[in-house]
Amino acid sequence: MQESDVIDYLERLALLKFTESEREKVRIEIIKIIELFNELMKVEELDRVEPLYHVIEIELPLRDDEPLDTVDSSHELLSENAILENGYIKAPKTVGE
Amino acid sequence: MSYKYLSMPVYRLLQEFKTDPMKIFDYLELVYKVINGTENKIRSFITLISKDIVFKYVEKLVKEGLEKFDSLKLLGIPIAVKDNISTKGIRTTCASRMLENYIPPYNATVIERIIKEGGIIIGKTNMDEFAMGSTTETSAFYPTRNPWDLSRVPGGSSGGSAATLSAGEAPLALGSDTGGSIRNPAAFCGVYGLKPTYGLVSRYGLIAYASSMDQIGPMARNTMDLAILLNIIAGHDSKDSTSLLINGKDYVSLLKELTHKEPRLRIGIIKELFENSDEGIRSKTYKAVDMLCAYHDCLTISLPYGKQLVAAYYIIAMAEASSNLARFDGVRYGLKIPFENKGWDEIYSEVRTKGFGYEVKKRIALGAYILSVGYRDMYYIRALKFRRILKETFDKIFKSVDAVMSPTMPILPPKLGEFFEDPLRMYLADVNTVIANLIGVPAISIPIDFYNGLPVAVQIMSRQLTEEVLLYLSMQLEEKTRFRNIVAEVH
Repeated sequence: MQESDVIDYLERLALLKFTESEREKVRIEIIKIIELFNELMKVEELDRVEPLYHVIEIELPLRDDEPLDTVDSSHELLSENAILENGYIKAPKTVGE
Repeated sequence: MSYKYLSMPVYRLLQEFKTDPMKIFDYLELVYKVINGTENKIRSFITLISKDIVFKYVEKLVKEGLEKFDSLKLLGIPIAVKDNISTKGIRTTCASRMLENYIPPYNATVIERIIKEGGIIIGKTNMDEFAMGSTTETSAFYPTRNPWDLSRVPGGSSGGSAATLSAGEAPLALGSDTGGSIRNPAAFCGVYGLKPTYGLVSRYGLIAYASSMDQIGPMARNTMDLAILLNIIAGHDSKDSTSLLINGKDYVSLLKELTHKEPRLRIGIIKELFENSDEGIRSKTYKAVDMLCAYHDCLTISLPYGKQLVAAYYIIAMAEASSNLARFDGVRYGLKIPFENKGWDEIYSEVRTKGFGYEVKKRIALGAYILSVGYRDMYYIRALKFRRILKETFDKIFKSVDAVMSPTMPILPPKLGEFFEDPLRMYLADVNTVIANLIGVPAISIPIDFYNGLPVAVQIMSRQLTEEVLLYLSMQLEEKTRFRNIVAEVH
């Protein structure tokens, strides 16, 4: 990892923050975890094969584009979870000052 | 109703209930009595449906459904459901602060099917936060304790579901399994658990962790009950695009047929997975090998991978998780915090920081790292290539054997807090179970005995879509070990 502080880099990459005590813990743990990940370097003939993204390598079917009556009203899904204003979902501002 | 009903299997309860529907109420009374006596010690539920609400629901069910009673395959059976499976009107938290107050407006397909068959959802069970853990200790609310020894963990991530079964709080449960999350707690709690073939059970309504490996599966106190629940939940669902275009088989009939005919199978014994287990596990699980091999043709097979299995699994799981958990942004899902004058990135980061616990944040961060420029090929693509080689390895193995056997877990249930200082040890304990998720085959955990008072289990895997083979071998072991319908006395 190229940045001066690994944890700062991870926090920026993942858009989340660790607390002060978590930072020390995660610093120790990720070294061990990356070491574990490096075990894969030992496997020979990896270049022989293509990556297997998914165990089902068949074309997955799409449903017909027809409405289903799974939710009672069009806004039920949203009203449970989102902040609505005049029927629109409210989101944080996207343009800085 | 006497306590003997507690150890009664579901297939017997169904007979009793069909003869006299009033017995459903007696049984529920008993179940709630047990829950009231044990729950403060075990804490297997996050949300328990109150007895009053359940009774009212059953009264309605009995009144309206009298004529179709004979056809209902789960009539009156209480079922505990892992809290990452969406239940309409019932809080579904994933054991996370992020979803502490989330009430889904729809049911997962598995829940729809259970309700249609007269099954009764009695509560949502504790788990590792977003299913990320092997002990149920990463739950944002509280850890669940192992009913066989309250100082130990029940396993995870479906620890609450397994604990409800062994404590007698419910006769059936649903779990989900991404790298062993059904089989691990089933083994630690002395119950039966099955991870189906990838795509056999609909994931619609399952809150995703690593979508290419997640599967919902049944948990029970005996093999036949597993088959009963699998019958209900298996089969194509158009709402899940990875659901296989097949109907589920009639596993109950197939299990009866196979148990009657007793075909001789070829079973591979994975040498390294026995040798690398703790002494107590090894001695007990070898006995199970002897039991099956006295009848079937067994051969020893060698698996040249160990830590690489765990590495590939965690790389893929963390990468997929970092993408899946992006939806908890405080706008569509997740904690609601006032936006004030803050921008997207700021709000997004704040929501994730407040809503996720340590293990989840760590896995998301590492997942983002693995997928970042320069590291994607080094880790993620390499893990996927290893996945291909592993699948080829097992395709070859399954040409010469019908099933392969190993211990489910290489260790006995650890004490609470034991893994906290060394999470890598926790990851490595998944080595036997992650194989089935990486390659999509079905796998079962079968309890066989106790060692120093703690349950020990074996795992059997078979070819894709041959769940009946696993159930058949499980039933044979069950006949020999008599490890069935056992309920722990919680002190």
